[in-house]
Amino acid sequence: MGYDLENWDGIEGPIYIGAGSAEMIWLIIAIVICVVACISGSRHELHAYRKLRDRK
Amino acid sequence: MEEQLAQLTAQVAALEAKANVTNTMFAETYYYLTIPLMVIIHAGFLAYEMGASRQKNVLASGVKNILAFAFMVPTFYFFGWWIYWGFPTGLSFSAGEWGISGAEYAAFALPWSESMGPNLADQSTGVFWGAFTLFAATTASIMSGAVIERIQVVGFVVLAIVLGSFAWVVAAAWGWHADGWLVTQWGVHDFGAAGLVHAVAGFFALGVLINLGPRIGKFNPDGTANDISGHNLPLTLVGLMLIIVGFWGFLMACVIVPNEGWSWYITDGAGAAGYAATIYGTPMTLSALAFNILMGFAGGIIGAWWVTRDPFWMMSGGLAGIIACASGLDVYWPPLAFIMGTAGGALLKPCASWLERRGIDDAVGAVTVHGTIGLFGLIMFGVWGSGLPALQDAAGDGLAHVSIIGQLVGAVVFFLLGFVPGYVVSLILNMLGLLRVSEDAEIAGLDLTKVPVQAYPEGINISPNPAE
Repeated sequence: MGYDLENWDGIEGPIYIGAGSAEMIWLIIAIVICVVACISGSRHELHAYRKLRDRK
Repeated sequence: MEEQLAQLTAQVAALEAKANVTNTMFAETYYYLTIPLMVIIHAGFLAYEMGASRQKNVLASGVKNILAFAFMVPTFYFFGWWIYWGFPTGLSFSAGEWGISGAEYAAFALPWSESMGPNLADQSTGVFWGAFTLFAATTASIMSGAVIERIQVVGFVVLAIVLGSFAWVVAAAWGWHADGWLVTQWGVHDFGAAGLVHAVAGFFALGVLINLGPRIGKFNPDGTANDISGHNLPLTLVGLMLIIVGFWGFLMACVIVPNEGWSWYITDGAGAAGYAATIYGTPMTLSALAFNILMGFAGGIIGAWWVTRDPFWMMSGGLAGIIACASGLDVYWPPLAFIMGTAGGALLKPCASWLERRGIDDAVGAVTVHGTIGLFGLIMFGVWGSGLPALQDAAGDGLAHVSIIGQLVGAVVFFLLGFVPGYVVSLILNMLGLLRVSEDAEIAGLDLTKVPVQAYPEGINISPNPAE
């Protein structure tokens, strides 16, 4: 990570961080976040239903 | 003399370069602005759904709706955008006649492509992706309203992803993309996505509703239906009006800005593109949209008012009026758009009641507004627009023509692309216990069961009389 640029002169094409080297790392982490969020959400929801049932 | 000619040539070149920059910035800004306008659709759906929910479920409905939007963005980035460019010719992933489809071409839309991030050499991919992502989110929100008050949130999110980042995208690849087989072989014309967005989403919702079942108390043992009113009809009405506002962005994003490298070329005789184009490359103007959206909207309200006298159906009728003429907003004669809108609005309540009598509990009438009226508009365009060139090539020749048969084929395909995935995926979710909330939770209320905050902590009380 990090850059060694004096200025933006002559810069063209992709300018995002990790261009050409680290795309897959961030992409995989982003996908994992979505999957884990769904699993966590489902566990929370099913737990909430059980808790309600046990209160009765 | 030669020196003056050289100076003139240089000046013309400089002017051309500046004009190109201006045009590119205009195109980028144009699509960029469609995105926040379409976000207003989701503000509308949020208000609409929460208003249509009973007080005990209002926040749970809101959570569900917000999450549909949130999960649509990354999943459309991960694979939805690629599907649009990879699928047009069918399931072969081969390139079509225009050379802008198929697996090889679609590589630019893969998430690790350099086009899918800040790139000084690409001022179009991001804004196009953003607009399509909002189309996708709209499909999910259409389904969202139908299933309120009894669907599990994660099961719903899975369904939203299947609909928004897959099912409707395949429909768009086939019926919108210039290489789409429905367009090139059948001349399908669906400018404003009555079929490929609205009908797909509406019938996806129907497939889900069959497996999800009605809310407790909706139907009596003899099969007759009870009215389950939402807790805040005014909020629902405002939500519907916000959806209408956002529709202007949605339909604006269906237009192709001229004179860019990716534009269709409709020349004015001087080598420049003289008009905007539909996504099929046929000529159109934004004035056409102004005429016909407003006329369809007004007709829908009047048609629904005529039949129901009910403000909920009147505003839904406004939406249905636009959807009824969406396929041909680019070419309808405004009074015809008004008539189509009126018909769409008038058909709503009878069609929704017909569905209800068959045991389908569609809490907001989404199947009818978007599914039935979407197909109605798509098919009727085959009646009014038969013979029009459905597509335009660079030489100005029409390649396929609009026909009733072609629009009917499109209607069947869009119905199946919505209904089948909706039914199958919800069936699987039901078998896994991830579709319907528990009976206890449905009766007690979903907010009380799983939302950590209250919607109305001070209750909703009658306003005190003003001081005299």
